[in-house]
Amino acid sequence: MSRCNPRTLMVAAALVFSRAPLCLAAEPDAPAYPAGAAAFQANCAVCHGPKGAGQPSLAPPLTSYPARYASIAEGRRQLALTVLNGMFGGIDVEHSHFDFKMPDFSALDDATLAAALNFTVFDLGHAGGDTKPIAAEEIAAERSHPMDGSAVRAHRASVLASLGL
Amino acid sequence: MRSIDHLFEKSARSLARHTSRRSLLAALGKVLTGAALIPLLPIDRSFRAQAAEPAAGKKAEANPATDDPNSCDYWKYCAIDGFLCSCCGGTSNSCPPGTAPSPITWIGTCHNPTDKRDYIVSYNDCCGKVSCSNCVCNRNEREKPMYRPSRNNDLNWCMANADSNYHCSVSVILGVAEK
Amino acid sequence: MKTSLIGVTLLSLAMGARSLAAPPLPAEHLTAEKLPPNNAHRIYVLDEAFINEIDARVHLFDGDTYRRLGQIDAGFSPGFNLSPDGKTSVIGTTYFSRGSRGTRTDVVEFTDNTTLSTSHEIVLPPKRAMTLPTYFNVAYSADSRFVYVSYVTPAASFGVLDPAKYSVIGEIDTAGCVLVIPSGPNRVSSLCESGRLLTVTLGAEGHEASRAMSDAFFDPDKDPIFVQGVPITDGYAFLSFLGEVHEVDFSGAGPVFHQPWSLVSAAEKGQWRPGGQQVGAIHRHLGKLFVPMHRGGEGSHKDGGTEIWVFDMKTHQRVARWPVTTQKLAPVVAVQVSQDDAPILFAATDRSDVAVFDALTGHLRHVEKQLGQTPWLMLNP
Repeated sequence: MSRCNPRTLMVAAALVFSRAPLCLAAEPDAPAYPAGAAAFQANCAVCHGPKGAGQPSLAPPLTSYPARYASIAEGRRQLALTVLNGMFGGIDVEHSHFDFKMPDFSALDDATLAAALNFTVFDLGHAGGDTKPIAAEEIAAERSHPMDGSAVRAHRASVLASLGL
Repeated sequence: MRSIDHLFEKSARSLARHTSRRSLLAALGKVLTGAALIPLLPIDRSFRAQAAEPAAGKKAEANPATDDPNSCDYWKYCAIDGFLCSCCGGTSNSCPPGTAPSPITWIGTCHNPTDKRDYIVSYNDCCGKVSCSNCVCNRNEREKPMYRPSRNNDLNWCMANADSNYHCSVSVILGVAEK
Repeated sequence: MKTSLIGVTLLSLAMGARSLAAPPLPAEHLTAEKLPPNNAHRIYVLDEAFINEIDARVHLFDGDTYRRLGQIDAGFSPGFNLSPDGKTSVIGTTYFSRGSRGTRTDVVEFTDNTTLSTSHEIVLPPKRAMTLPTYFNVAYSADSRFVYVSYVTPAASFGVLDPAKYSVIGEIDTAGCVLVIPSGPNRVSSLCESGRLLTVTLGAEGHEASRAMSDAFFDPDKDPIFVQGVPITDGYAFLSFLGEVHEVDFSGAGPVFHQPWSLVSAAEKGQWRPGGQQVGAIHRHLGKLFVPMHRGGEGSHKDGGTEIWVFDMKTHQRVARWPVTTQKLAPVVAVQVSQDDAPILFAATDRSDVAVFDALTGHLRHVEKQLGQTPWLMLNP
């Protein structure tokens, strides 16, 4: 679900005067977060696939859970913790089991990580309009206390419980 | 014609890539309590094939080789494949100068005979230079073929690096294995 | 000139006055050899050259004369195969622009097996599976219409290439299933993490027409199969870590999985195991399976064989046990058998020698020392 206004006559003005994402109405399926899409393709797609469909045992699909996480505070923390610290250990996503070691992407800056997460949550996960975009500050907040990959997985379990997943 | 024999004569500590010494000992029917024959793993029924359990419950005793990061018998190297970075200017968990660690990797579960715990170990490759060609070591505890890539040590895990030439492998403790 | 003068002088010393009549040696004419026509005992030995991994090669060797016949260079972590007519070698490999580093270029290269000249290449996306050699890293379709190449990035997919036009037709995602097993006209199969087999059917142009997933035919947790399937008449036989033989028949519309049979007795199971890099060779007409076997436990699946066991594929009985280490050979990590009526078994050891056995009697005829640095896959046309 694009957050773009399909009326493109004001695109140039929108760029200058607002923080709305760039709307490319000529391409109706353009991502709402193009910088996030680029970061995702460059860093995440190699394991999670270009559309976030995942790969058996190696990397879970991202088309469902991340959008749910983004709707609660601890879920949003989980998104930041995952990209900053990676994760390892067996997890289940919708009856499929995955057991790989996700590397950490702490070398990327907060804005890039937030953009990639927003691409995941909104463009891949189609989160609703009442979900706030992830802000770079939310990434920065988790950077100061790194977690190891198994603790990230444990935190995930508690997030899933809160969401009834 | 390059011979690799010198790798095996190099020191008493280094083992043949395919641990032929182990199979020779097996053929002679000897059973050792050291690292050479009994896998450094507890009996974990969730992973075990229907193999005869070696001396049920008996784990490897700590000995100098299992504590030596320059030895293929080092306890952390239980599923390593390649050259030991500790022989190449790195350590058992750091890359040699001028090489880049691979972000993706395969995983093993190794038993530490000193503190008797099982650890999840990540076998990152160090990338961007040609083969280190020193201390070749291949062990395959719980290793699986390529269709289970997270447990496979045949793949070049430098594949996703900007420079994907393979130089050597490290072993990084991720955490204690859950039972 | 000087050499022939010396030659003449020595000759005259030996033979007296009559030597002055012997003419000097003629000037020689430098040429490049061509290989004689293929014979059943020629073997292509892929040397992964693991100690110097960017420098892999294929060594050609004659199992009758024990002559080295030539070399095909193979780059970094190659896949290797032969065309169905045996006239062309295909190698999938990787080059870095500065040798050890730099821009990565993945290619499939075609070499004429008479001249050993590499004549064509197809440039691939930099996705090739860089892994140990199997029959299924790069492969021709049976009708030579397509060449398939396995991609792992680690996302799994494969490339479909046109070996007549030397072009890439396309890429097909396999949802995590790996390798390219030619499995019938316009069909390619891949092995999946769940123990299943994915089969993709291509249209005439080489794009996906349909796909199907089999039921699980092995248990990857309890008894994984080696990816090194061994060609049988109608498909492949996959050996498992514990010694089960899974024959898969591809002659029909979909794969048919025969009931597995065991290489080991109940007493031997878990003690004696197949192991190595190329774990098994089958003489299709005689119906004989040759397997390097070792004694070992979990984690020993890459250990070389201290014996070679021979099985009858029809009766599933072991018919011979050939000693290896007691013949002063190092453990055997790869085997291949010629398909003729006087067959030879080639056995590469983990000390890089290649032993030549009479495949009917098990008599050890010859040991070729150091046929490459790490010979791990052998093909014979």
